[in-house]
Amino acid sequence: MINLASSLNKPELIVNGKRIDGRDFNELRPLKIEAGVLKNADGSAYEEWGDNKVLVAVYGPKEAPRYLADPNKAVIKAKYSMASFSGLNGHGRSNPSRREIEISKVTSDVFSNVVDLAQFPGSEIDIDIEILQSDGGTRAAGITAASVALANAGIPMKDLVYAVSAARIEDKVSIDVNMIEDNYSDADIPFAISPRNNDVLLLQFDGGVTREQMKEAENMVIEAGKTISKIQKDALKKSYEEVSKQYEEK
Amino acid sequence: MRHFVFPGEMILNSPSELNYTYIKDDKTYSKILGLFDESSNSLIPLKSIWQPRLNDKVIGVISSKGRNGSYDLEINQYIKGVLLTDRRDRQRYYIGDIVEGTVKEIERRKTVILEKPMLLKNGILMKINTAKIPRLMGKENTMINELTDLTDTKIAVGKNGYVWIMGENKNRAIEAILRIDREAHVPGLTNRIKDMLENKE
Amino acid sequence: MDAILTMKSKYIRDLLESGKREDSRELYDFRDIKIKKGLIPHAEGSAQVDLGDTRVIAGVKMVLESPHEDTPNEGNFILSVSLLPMANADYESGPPSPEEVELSRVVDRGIRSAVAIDPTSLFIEEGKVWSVYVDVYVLNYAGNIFDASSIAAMAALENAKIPEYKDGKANYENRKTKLKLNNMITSTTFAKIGDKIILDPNADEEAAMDARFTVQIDDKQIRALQKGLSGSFSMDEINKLIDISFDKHKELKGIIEKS
Repeated sequence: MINLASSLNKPELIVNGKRIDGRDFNELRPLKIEAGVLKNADGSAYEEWGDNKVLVAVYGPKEAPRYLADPNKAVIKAKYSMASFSGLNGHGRSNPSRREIEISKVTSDVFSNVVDLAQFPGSEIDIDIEILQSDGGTRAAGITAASVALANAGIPMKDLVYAVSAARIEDKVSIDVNMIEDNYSDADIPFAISPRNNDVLLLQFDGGVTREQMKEAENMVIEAGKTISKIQKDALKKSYEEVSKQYEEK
Repeated sequence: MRHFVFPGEMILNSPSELNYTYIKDDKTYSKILGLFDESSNSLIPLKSIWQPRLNDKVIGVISSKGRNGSYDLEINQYIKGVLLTDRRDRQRYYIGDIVEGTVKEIERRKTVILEKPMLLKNGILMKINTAKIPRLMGKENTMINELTDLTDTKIAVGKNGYVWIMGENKNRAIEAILRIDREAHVPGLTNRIKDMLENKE
Repeated sequence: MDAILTMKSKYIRDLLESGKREDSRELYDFRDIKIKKGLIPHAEGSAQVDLGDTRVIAGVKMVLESPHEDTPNEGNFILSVSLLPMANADYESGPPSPEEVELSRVVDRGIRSAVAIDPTSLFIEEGKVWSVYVDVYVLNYAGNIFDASSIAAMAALENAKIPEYKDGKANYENRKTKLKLNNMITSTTFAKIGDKIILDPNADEEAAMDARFTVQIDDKQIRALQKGLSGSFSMDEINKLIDISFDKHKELKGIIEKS
């Protein structure tokens, strides 16, 4: 539906040169990731990004059902879903929405790029992304956490992908929009990046930006990526370092 | 010196065919989360997925009986084991039997043909991550020998991550193996395990 | 089938290595675009688009409905793209595949984000608005159904006339006013095969492609982007493809408006 009524009660998104939550335009929300949080899964991660709360489980490689199996390589099956209680308003549907189906597909595409699929022919690697609480930028949050869960599972990959959304808020290009900014901003541009060479693995967008704003957004994403990558790596080594620390102290 | 490496991290400025790495533009990158040992130029994974190789010893559970005296063996989430038995071998296997075999052939990285079966009776089976198997064995099997001696158990270790333990003190052995699984990356492990088992702490 | 596809893909790749395409197009050329408007008189607007051998048909239906509670003065816009089983031997009936959902949503987003239709212009009276349904059917698949569908949807909207509203009902016998479009978007889809990039991939080129990139723009702004498949693009490539899309925009827009 075209929905322009929302713009009628649009809040002031920029106040005194700061964003609605007091951030600078290039400032990320607080991001915390913990690896290996689920016992059953082969790999897992829990992430809090702003008020987003995201849980990711990785299962596999396991035998793929015949209709899905590729005799030459593994198949990535990502499933993005929003918990019915994840939103601030109302109760979510239980069936996968068309939005969820699309996000699941583009997320599968991202990880099909980096995972060493040829090593596991005929298998399936499941990436289950559950958005427990949503606060804008959930697909990027899901991908960033899924990367950690895959590495935590010991699945060989070319790179540790991160994802983040850039946006245009009025005439300002900004990074990592929250829910309110997402609802009222003029463009939300999620990127997934392979940091080794800054290749773009996911790029989706609708709204309106000029070519110059697009370039500014790209640069802001790469800059923010340095922080995100570091947090991902810290999460991965943390549980191992904690064991080491026990002995260093003795 | 050992340091953490992550998927996509360049570990060598030159091309080198190391395990768990790939080469791009004449440089070597890690594919996994692991520890890179600079003195030996080796990459030790912290978690890994078994890639079968010829002559790997594997432990599995008989899941069904095939043709011509062969058996299907559950050895992994997706790799199938097919156990070939010798006609002269009078041993018969039943569903649920724990068997050790040696990889004779690998078909399309998906099925392994196993030979030289050995029935493992009266023990219990546990699973650890395959990245920890080398540590459980130790240099020239020192760790596993120490472990069996000190606990007076029999232990068979499959490259696929299954470990079979038999004996009165199997619970002590399991405790030690879980500790190896948890602390494999911390130096001084052999001594700690030895202390643990000798002092019965 | 797989063996033939693999062989063809290799052929396409080898050709591209020397900068050539199967149908001898330049890397950034569209195939011939033919648009026939108004061929379904029962529909408020319609257009059939041939993009090379790809054929799609779009129809616009306008239906009287009550507005949504939170937008009492606005009508609705609903677009979907369906892959008919007749369009390709591999297509099957049943619930839409993830590919089909992605296609629909990408085409929808471009037109929606460009606010091509002012939703307040669809308001009739309190409790009554027009809902504009644009349904695109893919009749023959020969690559690049993203652009073909977008062109067909825009052309069908261009062609649409609003039914007369009389005594609380829609009189479909009498359509007078043209549906007002505020903006025109064009869609350009690129395929990356190895490290080469081409515009408007045909079926063989799509079978060989590693990544896809769709750019939807109006006269001034980028309105929607979608990168698809598992391959990747560098930032430089993305910026270059956006530039090419702006170069193509005028010509495409002309074709949609004039036909």
